[in-house]
Amino acid sequence: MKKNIRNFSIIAHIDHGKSTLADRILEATGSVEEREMEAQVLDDMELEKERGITIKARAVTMDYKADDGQVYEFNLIDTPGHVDFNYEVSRSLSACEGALLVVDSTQGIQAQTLANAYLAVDQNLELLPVINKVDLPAADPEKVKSEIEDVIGIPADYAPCVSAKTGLNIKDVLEGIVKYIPAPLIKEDAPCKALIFDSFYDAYKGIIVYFRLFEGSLSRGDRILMMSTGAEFDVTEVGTMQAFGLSPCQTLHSGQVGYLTASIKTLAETQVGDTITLAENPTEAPFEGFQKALPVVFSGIYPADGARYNDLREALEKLRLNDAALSFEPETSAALGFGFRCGFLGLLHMEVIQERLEREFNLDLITTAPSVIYKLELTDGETVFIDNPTNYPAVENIATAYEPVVSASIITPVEFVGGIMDLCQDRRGEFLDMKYVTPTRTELHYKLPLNEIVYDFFDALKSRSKGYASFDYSDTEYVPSKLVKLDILLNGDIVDALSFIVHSDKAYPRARRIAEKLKENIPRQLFEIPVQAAVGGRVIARETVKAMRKDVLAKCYGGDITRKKKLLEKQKEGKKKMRSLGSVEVPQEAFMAVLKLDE
Amino acid sequence: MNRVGLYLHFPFCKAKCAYCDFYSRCDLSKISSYEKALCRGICQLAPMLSDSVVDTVYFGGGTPSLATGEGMRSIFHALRQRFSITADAEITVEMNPESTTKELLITLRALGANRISFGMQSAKASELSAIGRLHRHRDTERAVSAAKEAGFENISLDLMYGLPGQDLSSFFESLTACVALDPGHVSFYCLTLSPEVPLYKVRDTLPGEEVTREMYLAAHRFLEERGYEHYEISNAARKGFRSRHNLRYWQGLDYLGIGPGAHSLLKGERFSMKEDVDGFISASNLFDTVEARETLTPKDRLVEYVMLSLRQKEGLSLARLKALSDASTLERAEKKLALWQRHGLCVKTEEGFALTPEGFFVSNEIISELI
Repeated sequence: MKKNIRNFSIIAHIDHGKSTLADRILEATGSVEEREMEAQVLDDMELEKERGITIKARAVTMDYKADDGQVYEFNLIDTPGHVDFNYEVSRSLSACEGALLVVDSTQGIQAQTLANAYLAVDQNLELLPVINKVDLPAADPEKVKSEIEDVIGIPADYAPCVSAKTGLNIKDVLEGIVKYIPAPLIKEDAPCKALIFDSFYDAYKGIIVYFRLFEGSLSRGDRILMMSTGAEFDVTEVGTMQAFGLSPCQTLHSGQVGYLTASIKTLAETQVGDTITLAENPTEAPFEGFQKALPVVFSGIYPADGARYNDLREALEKLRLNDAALSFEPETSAALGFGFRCGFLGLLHMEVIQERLEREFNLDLITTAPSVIYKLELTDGETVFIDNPTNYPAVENIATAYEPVVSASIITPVEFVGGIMDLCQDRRGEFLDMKYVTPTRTELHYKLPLNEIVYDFFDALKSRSKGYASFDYSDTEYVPSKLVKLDILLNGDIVDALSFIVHSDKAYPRARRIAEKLKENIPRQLFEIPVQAAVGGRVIARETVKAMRKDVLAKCYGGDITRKKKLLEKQKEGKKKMRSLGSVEVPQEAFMAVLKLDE
Repeated sequence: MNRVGLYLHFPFCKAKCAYCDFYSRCDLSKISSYEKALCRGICQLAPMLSDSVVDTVYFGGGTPSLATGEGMRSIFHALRQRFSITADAEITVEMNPESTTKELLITLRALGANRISFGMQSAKASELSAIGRLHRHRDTERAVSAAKEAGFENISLDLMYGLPGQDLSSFFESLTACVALDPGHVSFYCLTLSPEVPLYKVRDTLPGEEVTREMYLAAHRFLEERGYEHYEISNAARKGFRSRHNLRYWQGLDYLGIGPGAHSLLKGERFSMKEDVDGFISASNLFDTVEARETLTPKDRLVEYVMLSLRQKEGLSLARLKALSDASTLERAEKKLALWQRHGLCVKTEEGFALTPEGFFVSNEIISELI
């Protein structure tokens, strides 16, 4: 049976209403009853709902009876909306023929709108602009339409103007999908060729693989081959993803989107972007552009309470079941004890993982300053990559140091341009160009060292633009750089967990700021504590935590020992939250404070 | 025979001092019915101490000097009838200088009281006013000489430091005036304000930590130079004049407290009576007013030992600590000890270690690192 199929994604900047639109589409196609609708079916992690972003891709199949009287199978493939997950976005997009480009009519085009639109254009997707939030008083759909035409260069006059929140004009979107998004190219007679765009761990079924079938068909019982890893599996189930769960079937055909299970144990065997084919009758070549998801930001994660190391390990293992991009290995620190060196796709990914560990697994964490991967050519001719300041070699052994630098795009209302340029300047940015998106909004291009971005750049950008500026980056390259390792000493002892690598021009101000922050955040102790920052053994900044002068309960009146005992026990409890570094007690906040210096 | 101390609470004051959060009432009309209730209480609770002798008695408050002579006679009568009080028992009465009368002093001495503790606090009128005390230094002088005339040889004076408007030199004047009255015992307490007291709102105008610390260390030197041994965090005494009753608190020895808000430690159990004068007066059975019962666990014993032993000049015995705790606590203590010693916070003793005056002044932190 030949089916009318439309495979599409929704792309949008954060908060422009992607998930709400997805919900309305689900309702309007009758896939979900309105009253059964928990807002935003597609985002099923609690954290995603709270942050209003989609972290992992999901997909859903719907049937839509169009005005032309025909029934269409809609496959909506959701995409993560953030730069950290660009690779996953690009894989999700390449499973589609088109995409809805949702733009908030009160805000216009933002950095991620652009980044995602360019990704979609790169994948030869047909874009259908959707102007959202037209019910709001500040909405200016015509202005946004002309922005889309001017900046992205696609026609927008036919774009549906909707309110995903109220459901206004959703029908126009559905008809637009039918009309403007091409049907998939059907190649039923070829060998099976399918693209993995997501996979996740299910406690009952094991790994579930989401894929788009481009050529041939795939049936229960087939023996499949993962072309990048060479792993083979017997398919135990195939089917489609309905709004309320998986719906098994016998066979999926060219053009369709579906899932399979095959007793797959680890996500490493089903990587996003890999090509699925049949072991007996393989397709000639896999899809191009497959990449292993590689972490670019690293940080040490330690349990605040050392006794919870095993809980942390179990939590990380559980998270990795659903997040192949998360990497971790055991690490020990003299200061923090046993923990893990974790690798992330980017800062948001790091924050999301940390928050999930704390929230879903009830862990109290201490994290170290995020580090990027530095490339070092050593004097002996060897090249090494370093993601942990602890392993940074002595200066005399380094011939040339390289650091990763990215191309950054920042879109901001013009009044914040000055402050943002100062910020980029301060972060060693190299200005490339500036374009007007509209007369009131500007797009700035910079080359920015990644290690300046991972260090509270988002927060600084937000605070300098009252939250209006948006930011995206791509294309990492290594450039030679003057790097030094900055050590922090408390009471004369190096605290390994506080060391980090920094450009030599930034070493002095950074050192001073960190020493000040530590002084503010380390409570007075029984004796004076020198706080020093040093580069290669030379102290470049110093502060002192003064000795505690008075902490006494002088009166013990009428034999009320209990009250006093309770006070002391409370004080003792407070100390449990501190880390003993040598003879110095350091509260968790001190470790966190040095991660946020731009205040 | 067990030896036990007896604390009798007298929860009445003419006026509440602006810094005080201890339980007391200003409605003096209840005094005589309270005195009767105290006698009843003594009779009711006496069976608890049937196997013990009482070798310290302490009348605290509130303001015990507001008691009537008649009332005191009945109370002493009840005490002697119901408890076996040793011949050498230390019997202390706290008094406020302004309400001390010759008559009451003579009565108390005749009843067997042998120690008076006066709330002198300061010699400076401005400082006394600031904290809401009703007396002036001349009242203290008069009260002390009256006590001596009545035959009291063991007199203690309470001083306070860290008061509003106080500085190092005015504190010196108070110390000098205090010692001039030749007390056998001096207590010196740092003004500590809980959020409930009226003075709390002016806490920012108090002398700073640094000055307060100087005052404390100055008191230590001043008193030691004049023959007073700084034997407890806030107390100094000439030889033979340590407060035997208060030592019970610090040494973890048994005591029974009678009166609303009074605390007891008997046979490993701590308890207190409700802070309710009317309830105390009307209670047909005083056991009904007992609350906050707490049976000491091994951990409690450890915490209490550390916290109480380090209040004292004799300090902490490592052997005793070992008996009360595990190897890791002991190891931690010994490691810290060396560090604290280096920073002048403690000194080694034959049995373990003791805090220096500098250590006393940050002792909460030290104790909380050990427990």
